Amino acid sequence: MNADRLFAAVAGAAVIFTTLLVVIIATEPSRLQRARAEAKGNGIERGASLYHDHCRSCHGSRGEGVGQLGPPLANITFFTARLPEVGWPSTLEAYIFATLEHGRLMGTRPIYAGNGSTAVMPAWLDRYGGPLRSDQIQAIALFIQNYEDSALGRITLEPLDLEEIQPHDPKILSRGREVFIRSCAGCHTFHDINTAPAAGPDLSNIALPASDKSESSEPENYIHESVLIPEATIKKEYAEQAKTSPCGAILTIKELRDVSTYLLQ
Amino acid sequence: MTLPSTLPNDVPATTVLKVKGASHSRTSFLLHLRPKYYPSLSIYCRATWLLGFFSVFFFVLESITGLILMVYYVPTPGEAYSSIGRLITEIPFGWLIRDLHRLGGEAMIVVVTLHLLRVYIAGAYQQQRRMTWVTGIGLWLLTLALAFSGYLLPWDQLAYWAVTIGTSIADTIPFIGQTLTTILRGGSSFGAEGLLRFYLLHIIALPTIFLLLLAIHYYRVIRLHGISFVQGPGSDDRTSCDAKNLERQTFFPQIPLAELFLSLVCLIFLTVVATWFYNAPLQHHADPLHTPGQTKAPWFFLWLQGALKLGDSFVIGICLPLTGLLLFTLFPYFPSNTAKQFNPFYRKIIFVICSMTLIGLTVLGLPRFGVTLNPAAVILLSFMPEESTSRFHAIGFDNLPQGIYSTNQSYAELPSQLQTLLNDFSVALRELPDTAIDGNIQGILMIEDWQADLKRITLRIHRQAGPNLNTPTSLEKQLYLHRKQPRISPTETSSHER
Repeated sequence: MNADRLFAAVAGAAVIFTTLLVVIIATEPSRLQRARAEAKGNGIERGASLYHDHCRSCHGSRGEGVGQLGPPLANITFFTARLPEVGWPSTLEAYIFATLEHGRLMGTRPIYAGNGSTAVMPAWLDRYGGPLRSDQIQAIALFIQNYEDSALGRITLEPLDLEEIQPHDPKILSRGREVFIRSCAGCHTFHDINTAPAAGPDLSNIALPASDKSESSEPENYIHESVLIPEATIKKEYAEQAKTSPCGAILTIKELRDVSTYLLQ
Repeated sequence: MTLPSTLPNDVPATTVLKVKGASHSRTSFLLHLRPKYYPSLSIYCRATWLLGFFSVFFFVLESITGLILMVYYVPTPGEAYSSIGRLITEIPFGWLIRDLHRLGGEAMIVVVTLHLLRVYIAGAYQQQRRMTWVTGIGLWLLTLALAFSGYLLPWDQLAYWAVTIGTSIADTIPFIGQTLTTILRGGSSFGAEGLLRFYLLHIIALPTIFLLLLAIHYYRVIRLHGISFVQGPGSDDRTSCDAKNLERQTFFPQIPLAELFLSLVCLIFLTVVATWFYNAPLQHHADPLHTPGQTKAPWFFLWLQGALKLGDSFVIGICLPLTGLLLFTLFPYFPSNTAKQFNPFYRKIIFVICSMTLIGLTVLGLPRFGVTLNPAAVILLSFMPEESTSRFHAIGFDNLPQGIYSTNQSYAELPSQLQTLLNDFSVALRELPDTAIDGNIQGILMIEDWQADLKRITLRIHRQAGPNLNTPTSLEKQLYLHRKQPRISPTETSSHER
């Protein structure tokens, strides 16, 4: 190919390349905007999954809160009154982020003061001994902030009436039974386990109060709250016993879920 | 100099094709790099397919895009992944630079490999070219090493586990394996030290060695023995070394213009692909505590992953590949008192056998030939994969109305894509082992409006008690789907057996 034809080919390719760059430059602002929105959506999806794994035990599956165990996150108070209540000078996003990272040693509301021996909320960031990375904390914060529209009544989410077609897995029930025998049967009776008179209440029919108590929550949350904060819904005759033999902080979260499933079978 | 013959009865050409400067003086470094005259054939595409030029082009492209990426990349486990995310969402044209770097890297592997194969087919590894052949293999290995070391840097699940498995092969070497793995990883597993080591390898050590080898390789080709050409009787006249093609071609302006044109065409092609057809993968953040169900080596090492499934890791993963590589590198130095060693027929037979073996091993390395999982879990994973876009993302937020749907019923009012998905789910369940015997299997799909612009989707396989099952079982998987669907990274899913 002679030089003239080569020069023409180079000029043609340069024009095409320049046109391509102009198109990319012109569309870059909208692409960046879309990428940010997608990254936020992705963060909310990841946050929802992480919330399901780590937060729902105390704050409820849908952020409705669990008794005295954890305050609701999907209500109007959280989005309108929480910052003035604690005197937080910055944004709600920063507040959620800081709370998740550091946890809370002291309760800011009397009913969430815990049992006096454990932190109200543990630190979740790995740097402070928690199990989550910073990006995971950020994802959960995004998910919690996304409650805003439903909490403030801008949208209404119709609940789905789920049919219970799911049987309890024998493996989980077996594990739950083992946990109960090891950690709970010293004080409680449950059907054929520990039929002798016990210091704590008989839990054979605990599924009934759990269902009554948890109209706005899940029955297992009642068990979680009762284990972690026994005095939250305690009967008077067991109040003293609960002080001397607290149930909180003796089970892992997995054991807690297993034993809840076992008790609610 | 004698050019190699590639076909039986070839008459070797005896023309020297090396290029020369205007004079033989070594005073000008530029003339040393780019001589004043080239053989005409060297710029003709079908003679060499310009694979050497393209190899260097991609190396330069990788260097430039890599330098830009270095400005934004932070090589620590806490920041590496986030810095890639910022590159995509905050830095104008960051996605383009990253996509070009990734595409260019993979294209470089292909081009360098083809370059090596062309030289092998041309038989251009004899006599003076033996050292050039060895440096060429060194450059090919360095290209693979560059790609492998860069693979870890995004610090996502794909990278972390692919490189973890890759380095674990070194662990099988007797006596020094564990030490070698520890040196590579900076500990028993990859962490801050390991990431930093791979980063430094990727940006300093390997490119420096690459440049040195490239200089030797280029010098030998340009100044010592020239470019090799496939030739033979009856072949295309334009590719044979006839007098016309051995004419000299001045460097300026043809060569720079031709190279500029080819570079622009390559850039246009890569930019179009990166803009409209390709997104460099970025899976979830690396999690040392969670091994993905299906880990996969980089595509260029899939053959090794496949080979490892056949036997002992040390023998299959270290000894055989190293022996093969040594033979491949050094066979030009073997005594050549018989013609067989360089006989084109044998060369081609060896090429075909090696290629078929590598392709077969690569197929064997695919996840489908990996660890056997619970068939029901495989079905759930196929609809809700952990690290790629799910079927639900493909259907779209607005086509997923809230409700509970069973595979045992039909729903005429549902969007067609969702009906197809339910139908596929049903078909997959019918193919489960033992389904035909007890027949008590049901697939449930639950779609719930979970938050503003967020749905929770649960896919459940429920098996009632039957002839083969004493107690009912249920397996389910969940994912969350936001209206603004990510193009880059799939949703994180959670799976729990109940």
